Formats: sequence, C-alpha cells, structure tokens
Amino acid sequence: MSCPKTQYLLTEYVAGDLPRVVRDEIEGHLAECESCAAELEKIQQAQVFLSQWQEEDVPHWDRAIAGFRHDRATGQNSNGGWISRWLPSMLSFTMLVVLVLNTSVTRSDGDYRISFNSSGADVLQAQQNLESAALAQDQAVQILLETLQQRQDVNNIRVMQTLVDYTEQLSAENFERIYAYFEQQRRLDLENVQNSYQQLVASDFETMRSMQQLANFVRDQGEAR
Amino acid sequence: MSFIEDDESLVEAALNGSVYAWDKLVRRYEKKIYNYGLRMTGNTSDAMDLIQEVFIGVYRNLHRFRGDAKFSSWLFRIAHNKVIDIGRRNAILKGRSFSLDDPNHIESQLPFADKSVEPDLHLSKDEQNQRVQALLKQLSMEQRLVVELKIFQSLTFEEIAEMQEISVNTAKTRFYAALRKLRVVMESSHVLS
Repeated sequence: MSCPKTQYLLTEYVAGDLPRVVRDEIEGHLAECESCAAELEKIQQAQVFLSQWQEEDVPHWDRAIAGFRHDRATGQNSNGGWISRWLPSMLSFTMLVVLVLNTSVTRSDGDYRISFNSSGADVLQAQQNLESAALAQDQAVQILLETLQQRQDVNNIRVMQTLVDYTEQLSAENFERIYAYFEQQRRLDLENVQNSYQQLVASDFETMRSMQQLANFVRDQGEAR
Repeated sequence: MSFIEDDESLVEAALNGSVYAWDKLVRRYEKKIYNYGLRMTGNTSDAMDLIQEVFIGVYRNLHRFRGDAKFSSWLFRIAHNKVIDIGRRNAILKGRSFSLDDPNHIESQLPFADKSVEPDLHLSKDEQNQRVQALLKQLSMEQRLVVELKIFQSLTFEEIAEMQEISVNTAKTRFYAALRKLRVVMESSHVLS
C-alpha cells in the first residue's frame, strides 16, 4: 500500500531544518501511515550505512611544497605578478588587432584576394615591381654567368700554359740529367781506355824486356859453348 | 607570532611566501580532501590525484582568494571541480561518455556478503569503507555530491544549492532520490545475494 504523500513529505523530513510545526505534522502522518514509516526506515538505514565511513589517513605526499616554493619564488601568482600573467594575452591581442586592421579583401576578375597591409592597387603595383625585379634579376644572372664563363676560359688557358711550361722545364731538366750522365760515362770510358792502354804498354814493355833477357841468356849460353 | 592561526591568516602568510603557513594549511585540510576523494572517486589512486591537483590549484589561485567566503568552502569548490575533471578523464580513458547524472557502474557487485546493512564492528576500517564506496558508486556524480555534502560535510541545503548552482528544492529532491536509490540497491543486494 503506497501513499501519495510519501515523496513530498520524506523529501522535506529527511532534509531536516523544518519548522517545529511542519515537523510535528509530518511525524503525525508517519505515526499513522505504515507506507511512509516503512520507507523512512529504509532510507534511514541507507544513511546509517553511509555513516559507517571512517576517516582514512593520507598516504605520504610532498604537500605540494616544492611547487608552492617555486611558484612563490618566481612570483608568478603573487599580487604584483599581473603583468607576467597578462602579458602574453596582451601581446596576442595586439597582434590580432594589427592583423585585422592591416588585412583587406579585394575582388578582381571574379576572384577574391586577401591581402595584408595593402590595397588592391598596391597589390598590382607590387606585382609589376616584382616582375620587373625578376627580369632585372634574370639579366643580372645572365651577365654574371657570361663573366664567369670568360673568367673560366682565362683561367683554363693559364692553367694549360702553366702545365706546358712545367712540362718543358721538366723535359729540359731531364735532358740535362741525361747529358750529364752520358758525359760522365764518356769520361769513365776514356779513363778505362787510358788505363788499359797504359797497362798494355807496360805489359808489352815487360814482354820485350823478358825477350831481351832471354836473348841475352841464349847469347851468353852460345858464347859459353 | 600569533598562536591563533585561522585560515585567512595562514592564507595571507602563504601569499607572502611562508612555507610554514602553506604546510599548516595543507595539513589542516588534506585529510578531508583525501577522504572526500575516496568517497567521490572510489579509489585511492584517484583520491591522491585529487589531493595533489586540488592543492596545486589552490596555490596557483591563492591570490584570488578574497576572504569573501570561507577558505574551506573555496577549497571544496576547487575539489568539486577537480573531481568532475577526474571523472571526465577516467570516462575518456575507458572510452565511455561522461555525464553528471549517470552512475559509474564500475562495480556492479556490491560487497554485502553479510546481508546486513547494520554497522559491523568485526569489519576493518578498509572493509567498511569499501562497502560505502561501492554503494556510492551506484549513484550518479551529482547525487553522490549532494550526499557527500549533506551527510559527510554537514552542509545546509542552502549551501549545497549555492555551491552547485541549483535551487534548494532541487538539492533536497536530489538528496532524497539518492537515498531512495541507495535503499533500492541495498534491498536488491539483499535479495540477490
């Protein structure tokens, strides 16, 4: 058996803080209405169940002291630190304002053109300037390439000339070395020939003297007989 | 040095760079925030994340505390926002959508093995608290919050309404609906177990 007043009455009764008159009236109803009384009892059981909670101790932690110290040391959040807090936002806002004030949208030939810090005419002028600058730059590059080519040719000629000179010098030195070698060999040969001739002459002299001695011996032996 | 160190004095000293004041302030509230985190998130890991994120949020915004409200109210407002952030983050990590009016459904099986909702003196503190946590997980985040604020923090419905930016009647209705749902869950657990 349910009571239509249960929710309304118990909401107020459980909430408490009721004027004495209202409280007595609800308690009078609860004394007569079994449905409401049973519902109240179960709800109070839930409250009792929750009240079994026992406060737990906090596990060890650093109590955010390191962060607090750092924060105080940098003064990031002190009362005088509003500049450091708001400076990034102020700069961002200023840049946004500058961007918006200097941005323009123009339409030409059915196309929309968004430009920064200029009007549409300025854009055309800027494009012409850009094209002439590009042309001038191409010409300058061409001239530079030609100059570079000429310099390269001169350099190549110089290198080749130097190479030839070096080769010639090298050849002359080699000829001198060969000539000196042959000259030395010639002198050695002459010395050898001269020595050999002297030896030959000496040998012939010894031979003649030996023959002379032999002849003298033979003659002496003949006379002795 | 004054021996009366109310929250506002400690906040002022902390703003002037006093580590002592900051440490005292944290010690005063860390247990409340941690237990709040345990009940709201249902696990110690998230409760530790909560306590760290709350106090980091506090010292970063300490200069904004004007003393118009109580420091504890301001602190729990930060904690409330962080709890919602953690719930949202966990929902994303688990690949499901997050809503304040949906329960977590993390644990569908409730630890009511003794079939009794009466306080059990034989249970350890951990076991008792796990039973409460499991029951609270059956509630949506907004229901859990109103239960938390009313039962565990003893706030008035006017204060709860102001904190959650809802009407007093909505806060009362939400509280009653939460208790009713807990009652149904407990009954179902009795019948099914």
